[in-house]
Amino acid sequence: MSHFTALLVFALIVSTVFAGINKPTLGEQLKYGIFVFISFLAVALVVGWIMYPFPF
Amino acid sequence: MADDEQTTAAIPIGAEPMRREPMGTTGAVAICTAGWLVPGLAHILLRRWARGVVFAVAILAMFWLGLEMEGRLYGAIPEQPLHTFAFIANAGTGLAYVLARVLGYGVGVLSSPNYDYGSTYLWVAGLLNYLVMLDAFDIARGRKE
Repeated sequence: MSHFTALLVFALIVSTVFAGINKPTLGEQLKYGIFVFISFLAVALVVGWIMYPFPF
Repeated sequence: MADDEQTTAAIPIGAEPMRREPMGTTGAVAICTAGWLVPGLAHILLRRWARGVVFAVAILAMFWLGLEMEGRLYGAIPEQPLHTFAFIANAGTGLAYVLARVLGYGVGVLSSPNYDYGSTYLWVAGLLNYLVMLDAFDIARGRKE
């Protein structure tokens, strides 16, 4: 499994559980889950690019 | 009447029946213990079938993937107190953790490129199950639907 795939799967599972815990209806769960999933990806990519020039 | 309509509108995934009477603390703790042993079981016992199954699949899949990625399952080692945090996180998956340890899985292969990811998956699977347990406790006590 590539590291990016691991990131995708991680984001998918965690966002699914967060959505199930935090929102009561299916519609809200879907919206919140997608938001959390995209947030995970966006933050990981942004932080990855910020860290790119670091030599350590 | 208005209260009934509001409650019905807040039904979670699928047509899941509501438990009207809040449980006592002992009952809620027993439900949470079941949920700790088998992820998702607490919600299933509370008749939140769909959510219980989704939680079980998600958490156990994460645990299994962590083992597949050759992550490490930590035990309680008094000489290494920092490992206690990792142990607490790992132990959140209950019976799956015990079974994996007994069967010799989760040794952790440091040379594997996925070792860190695998260990993180194993920690997060346990931590997510703690959150799911707390959610089940709130439902059992009537604080959430």
